[in-house]
Amino acid sequence: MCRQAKAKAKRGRCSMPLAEELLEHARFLASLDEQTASQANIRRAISAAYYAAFHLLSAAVAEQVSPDFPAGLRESTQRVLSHSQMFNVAKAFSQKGQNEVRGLPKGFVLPEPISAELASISNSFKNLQDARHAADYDVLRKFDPVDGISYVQEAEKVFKDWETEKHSKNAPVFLAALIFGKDWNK
Amino acid sequence: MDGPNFDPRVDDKVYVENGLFKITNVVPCIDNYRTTGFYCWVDLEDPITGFKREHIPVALESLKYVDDEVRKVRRIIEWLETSPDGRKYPDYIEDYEVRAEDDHAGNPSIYVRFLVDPDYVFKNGKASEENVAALNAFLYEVQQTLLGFNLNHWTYVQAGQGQGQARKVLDAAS
Repeated sequence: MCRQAKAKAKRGRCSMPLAEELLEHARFLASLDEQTASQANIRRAISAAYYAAFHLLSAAVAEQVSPDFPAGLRESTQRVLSHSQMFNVAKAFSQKGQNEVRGLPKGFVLPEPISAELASISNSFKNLQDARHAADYDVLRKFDPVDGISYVQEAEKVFKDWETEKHSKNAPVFLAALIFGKDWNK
Repeated sequence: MDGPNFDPRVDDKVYVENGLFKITNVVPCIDNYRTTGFYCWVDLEDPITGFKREHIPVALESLKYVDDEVRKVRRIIEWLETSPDGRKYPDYIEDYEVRAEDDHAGNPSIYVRFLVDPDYVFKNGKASEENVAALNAFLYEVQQTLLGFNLNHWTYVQAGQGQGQARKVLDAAS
């Protein structure tokens, strides 16, 4: 997988494999101390799980909004994404069955109600980002193995759900919101 | 039960005319008070001075609770514990914690943390993918339920590690 990622990066392709690599890394870290509680391993597992989801979605955004030629253009576009913007969009898309979402262009209604998959992706992204902050910076908080395993599997589900959701009518709107959301109603 | 019970309860804390009081008695006017949403009165007591205010007429919506959103979330979880609408409340949940604090982005938030029996998550020293998936599905359903109540806070539903049955037995024996 690492070799594939390097090869694709050389060819100027999107960094989707990086997301998968991070997920595998998170799985590995979470499985190191299943019955003990190495804070470093659990915290790094949670952090890697978040970044796996972040890179999965940001690569999908870049793929939607930018061509991959000239080389590096798409990757540079991916760099534009902001964690806080993505966090707010994830919150907005986190309730299944909704048609109207805050932050979309005025009067714009989603083509279809938010699916269980999209709500799950959004919820997980929001949860993972908040957990990532706690894991990286909150030294008062004690994480246990269940935390690590649960968050890593939440990230895995983001990947699984995205495989279904990326073909939906809402997917292009969701991806566009992740990058443009804050500027749509300026 | 049709839905969560948000009725006033003894020991709930409320603000009345800028003072903080504890409810010491709740008296409904009529038998089907929950459908009317009206209470005849509550008795209150200042928790510091012991000053009592009795027979305060109150409509359900007019009580201003301390930590109202946390109280609501607790009541929703209590309702979920009754396995309503065929939704099974998992038996591997040992306990839960509800706390209000800002999230990392400064949004007023409520965190619900379900403490899970580790013996459910780990089988023979390995995490059970199937069981963790079921746990995460439960957390997601709770999250969706909370979103349906239009709370004024962001909500986070998490799992944490409980004590486990084996450890509880050891603790009890020692």
